[in-house]
Amino acid sequence: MTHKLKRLIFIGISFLLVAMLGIQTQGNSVQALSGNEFKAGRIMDDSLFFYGNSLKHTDVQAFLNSKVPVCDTNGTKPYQSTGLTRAQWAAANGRPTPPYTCLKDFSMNIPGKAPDAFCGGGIGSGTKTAAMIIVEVANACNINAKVLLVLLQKEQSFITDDWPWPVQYEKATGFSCPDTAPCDPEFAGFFNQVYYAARQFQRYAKNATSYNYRAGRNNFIQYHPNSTCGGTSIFLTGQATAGLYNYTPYQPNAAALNNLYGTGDGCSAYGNRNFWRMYNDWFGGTITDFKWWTTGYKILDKTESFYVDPGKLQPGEIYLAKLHAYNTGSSTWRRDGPTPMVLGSVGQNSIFCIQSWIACNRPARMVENTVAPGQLGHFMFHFRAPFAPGEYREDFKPLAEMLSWTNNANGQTFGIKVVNPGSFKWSSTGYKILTPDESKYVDPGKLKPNTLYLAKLHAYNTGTATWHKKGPTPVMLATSLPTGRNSAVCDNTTWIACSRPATLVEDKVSPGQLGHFMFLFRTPNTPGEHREQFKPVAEMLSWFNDTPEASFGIWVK
Amino acid sequence: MKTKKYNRQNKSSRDKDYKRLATIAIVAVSLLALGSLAFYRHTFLNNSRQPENITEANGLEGKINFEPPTEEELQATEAHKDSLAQQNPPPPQPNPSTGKISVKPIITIAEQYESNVEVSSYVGEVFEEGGVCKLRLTRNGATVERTTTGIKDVSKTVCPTFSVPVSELGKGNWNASMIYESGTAQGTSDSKTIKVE
Repeated sequence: MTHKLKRLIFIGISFLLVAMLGIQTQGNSVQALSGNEFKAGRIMDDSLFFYGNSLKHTDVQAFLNSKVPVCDTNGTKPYQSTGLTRAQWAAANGRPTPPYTCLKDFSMNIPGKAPDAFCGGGIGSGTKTAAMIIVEVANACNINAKVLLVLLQKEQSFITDDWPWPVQYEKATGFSCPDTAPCDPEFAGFFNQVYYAARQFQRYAKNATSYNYRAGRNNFIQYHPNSTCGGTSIFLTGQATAGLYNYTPYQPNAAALNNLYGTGDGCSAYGNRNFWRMYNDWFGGTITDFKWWTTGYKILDKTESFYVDPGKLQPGEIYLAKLHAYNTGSSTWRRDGPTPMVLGSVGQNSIFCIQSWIACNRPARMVENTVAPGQLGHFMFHFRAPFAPGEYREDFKPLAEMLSWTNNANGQTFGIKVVNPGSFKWSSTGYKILTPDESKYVDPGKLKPNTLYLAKLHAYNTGTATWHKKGPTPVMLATSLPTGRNSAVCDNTTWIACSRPATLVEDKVSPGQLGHFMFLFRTPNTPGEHREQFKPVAEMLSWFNDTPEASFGIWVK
Repeated sequence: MKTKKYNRQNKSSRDKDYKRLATIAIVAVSLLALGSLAFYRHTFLNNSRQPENITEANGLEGKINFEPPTEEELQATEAHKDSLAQQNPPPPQPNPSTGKISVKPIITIAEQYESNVEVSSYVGEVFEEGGVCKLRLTRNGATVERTTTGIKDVSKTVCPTFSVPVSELGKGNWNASMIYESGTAQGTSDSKTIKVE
């Protein structure tokens, strides 16, 4: 091998090593949670926080087991570097002595709770494990069980404690437990602490004006109980975040965030920082992450029987649109609840809107109850094709209502083309007047006053559009010169309106074919000649655009 | 000489072939590496914050980290145990001149909201019911006051939100302060300016 060749191979191998190192570095760099990611105004989203059915008690039990693999029930582990076991140290220092009961092994007899305005589900009495208590409270009060687990850790390091003391059970969540005095006995004990803490978050939500931090408002939040440490005004995006500040009224300062797993400075408070960090470490993000990807729309007829070419839609016709939406984010989409996943128009109100829509900028809710990350969801909505021929395009994308739009890319363009139905033209040989039962013709110059007759009009389709009796653009006979005028011979009982004597008799009249209009009319009371004009109209679409109108002339004797 | 020349040419040609082959191999391996990188990023880094044995909870939504506690978590647990082992901080002492604890209410919201001025606050130093919260709004010698009763909230005392119609105040900058007084505590907040429009 030449020197050059060796050098080339050396460069190649170096390149590969650097590339592989790059892979490793990238992998590591995204592992660590950074204080920069903490958003003081959005510690946690409501859809995650107020979600009572997130875990089963078996999941919670497994989680508790994993965090305390072995409980130091008898205090046999060494206590720091004292040379004593925990049991010995505790006995020597007047601290609680064994046995120690870890949360994973704890159970107690609870009194049960009836549903109330804040915790809408009841809790049955009896002996329950800690995991059962957490899950039953979570369900009853609609607070995520993961929130309660993190709250227990944040307040008492309870989840990872392998020799907890009774006082930790007494004030497990710190509810009604001021720093400088014992807990209020009414709320002391593990069950009460978990129950009333969860309930308090619902109180914050339902009685927001009774408390001092409010969602959707600018709130002044201190860094520390010492007011000289200062604070900032922060807009709180949701009730979950407002509730967390009501529970623990401080935000972390820069020093606390710079040392996310340690301590900051004399003006640092850690409660909300630790809540956010622990939740992230154990249960993924506190912020919902809505992203989507789609293969686009399918258009079907309104009864969902067959697919329709979106480039050939009929004016004014109702169709069904179906959108496949893949959940490519890390948050589950939910059809119901406080932040339901809906399809929204990215711009203003949609021109496709019909009555079945949630609103004219919200075509539909998601079809499925839940769509987990990686799964496929659907949105289906009826829409009306515009009456005027042409191309129409609008952007739609899913959003978690009251929370967040799916935040990748733009909306999926919904594009359709409404076909031009052709020209509406006609010619006529005029009217025939008959008796109402059609038994004989009547001379239009010799009609009786205030009497019903039948008029029959022949109409040749001389245009290029097909006439339809029904549908969104039915062809009707209408008063003209001027249009919209009420007719003097209107028969209220049989006319569609006093400006619309009749629909087409035939279901369909193709170009070149003959159609008919038939209508009963009532002669005026006053004798003399009466004359007015009628011409057909394709409703919502076009007047027949040639002359003459069919002049309808009668003489009342 | 001819043979030598031929050999030189042959060697040069072989070197060129080697170079070409090596270049192709390096490019191919590089592409493979880049492809692996892309696959790795797509497959694993989307959920990169999760440790390896974060697993799906049985059929239910979300992820749970079933890892044993980290060293940092264990240290924090021990640190908490240390704090439990310490004596509770002494309760705040009354001010000799008033016989009451000095407190400083914190105003958290002070702004015009629609047609009302709203002021929310709390007192962090005490945890009690029945104290009197007094909102004082002043401007150019005019004073508007409202009172309400403080309530316990977790570990502090909250003064429920005051809502004063703008029609009672008039336009301009008003100074808001909160005065709290109970049988055991008293104090006044810093004032906040509210622009009324």
